[in-house]
Amino acid sequence: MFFRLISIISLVGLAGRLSYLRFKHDIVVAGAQTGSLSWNAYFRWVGGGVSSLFRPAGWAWLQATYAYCCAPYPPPVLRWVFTGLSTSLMYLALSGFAFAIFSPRGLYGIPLVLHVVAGAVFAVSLAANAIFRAKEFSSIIEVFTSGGGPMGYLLGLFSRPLRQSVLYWIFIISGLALAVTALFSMLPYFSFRTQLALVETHRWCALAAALSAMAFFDAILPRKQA
Amino acid sequence: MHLIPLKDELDQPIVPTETNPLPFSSRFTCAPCHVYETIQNGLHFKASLSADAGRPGEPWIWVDERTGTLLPLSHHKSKGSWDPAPIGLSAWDFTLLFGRHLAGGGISEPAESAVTPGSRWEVAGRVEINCLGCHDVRSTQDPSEWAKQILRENFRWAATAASGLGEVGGMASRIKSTWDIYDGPDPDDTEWAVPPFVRYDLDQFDRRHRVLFNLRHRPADGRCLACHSVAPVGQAKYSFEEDVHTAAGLECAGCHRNDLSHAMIRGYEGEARDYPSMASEDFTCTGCHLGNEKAKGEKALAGRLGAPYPKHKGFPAVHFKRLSCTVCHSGPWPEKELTRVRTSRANRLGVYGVARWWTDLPAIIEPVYVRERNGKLAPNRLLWPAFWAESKGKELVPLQPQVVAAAAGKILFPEQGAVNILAAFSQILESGQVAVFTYQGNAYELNVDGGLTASPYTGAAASAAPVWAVKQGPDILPLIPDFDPEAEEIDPDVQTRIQAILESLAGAKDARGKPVLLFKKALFQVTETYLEKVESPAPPSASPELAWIIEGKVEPLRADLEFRTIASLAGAEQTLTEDQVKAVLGVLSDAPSNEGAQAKRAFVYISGGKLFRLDRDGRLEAVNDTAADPVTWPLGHEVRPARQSLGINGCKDCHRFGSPFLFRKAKGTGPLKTDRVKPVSANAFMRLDRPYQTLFGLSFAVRPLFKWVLFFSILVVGSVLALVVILVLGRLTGLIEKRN
Repeated sequence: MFFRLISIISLVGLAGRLSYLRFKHDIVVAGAQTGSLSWNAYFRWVGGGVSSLFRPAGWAWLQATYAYCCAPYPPPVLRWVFTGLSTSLMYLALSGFAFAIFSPRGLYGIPLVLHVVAGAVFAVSLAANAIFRAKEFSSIIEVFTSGGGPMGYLLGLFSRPLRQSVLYWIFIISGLALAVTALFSMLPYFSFRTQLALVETHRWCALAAALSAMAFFDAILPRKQA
Repeated sequence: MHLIPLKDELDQPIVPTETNPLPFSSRFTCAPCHVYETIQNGLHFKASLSADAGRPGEPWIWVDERTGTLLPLSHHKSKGSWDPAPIGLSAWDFTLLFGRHLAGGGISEPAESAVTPGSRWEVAGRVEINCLGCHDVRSTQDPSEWAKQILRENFRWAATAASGLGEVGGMASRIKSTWDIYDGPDPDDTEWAVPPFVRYDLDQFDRRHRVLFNLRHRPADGRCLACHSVAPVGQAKYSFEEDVHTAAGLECAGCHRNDLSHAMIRGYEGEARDYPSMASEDFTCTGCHLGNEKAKGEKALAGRLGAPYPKHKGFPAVHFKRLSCTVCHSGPWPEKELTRVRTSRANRLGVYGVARWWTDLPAIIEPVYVRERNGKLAPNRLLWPAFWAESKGKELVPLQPQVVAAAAGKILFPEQGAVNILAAFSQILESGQVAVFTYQGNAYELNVDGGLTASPYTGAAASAAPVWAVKQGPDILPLIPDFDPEAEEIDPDVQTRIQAILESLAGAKDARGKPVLLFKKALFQVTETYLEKVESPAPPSASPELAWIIEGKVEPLRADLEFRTIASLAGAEQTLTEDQVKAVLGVLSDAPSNEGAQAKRAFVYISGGKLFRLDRDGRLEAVNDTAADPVTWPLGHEVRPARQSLGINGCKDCHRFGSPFLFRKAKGTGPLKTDRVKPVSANAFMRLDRPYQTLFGLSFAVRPLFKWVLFFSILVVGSVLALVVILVLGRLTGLIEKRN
């Protein structure tokens, strides 16, 4: 129950927070007045954004976003890394959280089989991603070793590149933990109590991975320019 | 140890040396110390009559081979079992049928107000609780003697006879219903209708007429197993393992405990909800092996009675939410075929004497995995019911076997005609010769039970049509010697033989007419005391044929249907053919209805998971019906050790395509010999989706690859992370700058 509560609050809260900030940015960029930042306007903006996905313009936006996200992988053949990582992550998050939150039985049936398959794709994509993009987000090493002290480190978090770097490594660590707990729970070396702990760890790591992925994508996706 | 005087049912002390002493009464003998009325409410007594008595147990199975009845009965409201009362079984009937395995009390000790007409309680006495049946340690205690006395209707004498305290003679079943225990012995009949009496073993009494009982608070396992044992069919006794708990030294009553009221712990999950007053959860599998996390103190800890703590390495937690412990640990390992077993109560194991029933039914199989009330799977035993019933709208009302037998008459006794003829022929044969008939590859001869025994035969007398013959040692010779019926003079020995055969047939039980011998164009018959040869009115026959002349018409000795039925059932455990079922349904339907001649009654027969009925054209059709569905009840034992439990070889013990656990089928069985039976897949019992289980099973074929993929991915990501950590450490320590 505790996990369900925390999951709902954190996922909805973060999604709301990030989208609201983006909404606010878009509105301000468009030259709107303070009064137009009401909740009604926000929900209209969200609704418009969602419905636009089903229109040609929305499809074009998706394609542009996909191209943007694939840009860090210069050889086109490596685009599967992004495609695999993002699609598997979306399915894993949707199936995992939907069953964890709404089903007392947990994940089962065909969704479970697909969850296992998606887990393998996710693990391979994550490993490839770490190889290709770790260097890009290695600025975190500089922060730890800059000598600026704790305050400097905390202030550094507010810089966009560093925030991306931190979120990236949180995602990588969570993903690693997800893979480890999934693998260990399939090996005949751990007792039942350890199995329970592994499942519980898997859930919390999934939450961490989902939250960091949401924040990371928000951080890397471009915002409207004035 | 109890050194106590015995008391009879009149609460009078028993003096074993007096003339015609009464049998002892447990109600009054034990009464000074034990409250009989309290014990009466125990699980084995009145509690067994409760409609809501927790998890279903093994039903009582009314077996009647002749009518093909295997009717599961239970006072509990459990799916597939029938309440005895609505189908007309009184307490008296029930006790007569199942008293052999009843512990006394309960239904077999009805109150005066509950006595039904037609019962003979006054003659037989009530079946008091058989305390010694469970608690007597002495080897003289004999459950088989109990069964014998119950079958003789010696109800009030059964406990005395079974305990070995005395010898009981006479049979209450043979004496008139006006007899009373005060009447004592019948001086006019000392041979047949002898009222029951007891002769106490005086060596067991002291001078004050007391008996030294060696009693045990906890019944020994043997006492429980007299009614609760199960044995696989077709396996040598030495080859099957006992329960791991028994092997470890635990006794049945070590877990299945009881209090003074004789309420007993059955030990299933959820029993605490059914019986809140009992500490049942402490004695389930998890109660001893895992401890009770909800309890406090010692009971919260695992390891009661030395139970090892299971680690269940590698088992996903979902297994413990969806499966009972017994799924993996109890009953036989799931093989391709289900294991057929006999149980004490259903198959009358261990009952006195040579087994005389001629079928091995009821066929009980295990384990089928069935979803229980708590949503968990549990291994069950299964029985396909078989019974005749009247269809009243959407409801079926089972018919009692004697009702069916009375209506069906000779249809259910296809061999009787042939038996009578063979018995008649036996009268004229010499010593060492046995009358037989050969038919479709078998030779049939009389057996000691008054039936037929078939043995394979492919000799010269083998024929597609029945041939009457004589068995002499290993040879089978023609009953009628070879002769020419058209000859002027027939060999006198042959004539004598033919005359003897015809005379024996004339004296046969159930002779249908005048016996004759037909051969070519001749007809031989006995007229007065001579063999007469006349011209046959029937078409010429190539070989000698015995027949009846009935009202001037030639009729075969026995109908073809009878021989076909005999041949069809020879060597089979089934007792009915489709022809017989069709004929009986026809007879039942034609019987006059109480509601007037216009109202045609509808009858059905259930066997092998199908409901058989006559269609509009009078043909036998088989349909699915819930009443034909199998009845199941959970099994708890024999428990296998961890190393022999499901899953010990990995997930594929169950999760693979075609695994017996998920995909084997239970095909309907029953007394009817037919191909029209219902198969039920294991996943259907579990209420699982077959295509999904197939897919899920197939996924385990690529699991090893999946694990390696995960492993290498973890290795890569972990290495990258380790590199980052090393870089941070290198920077912090200055080692990297120094190298640069």
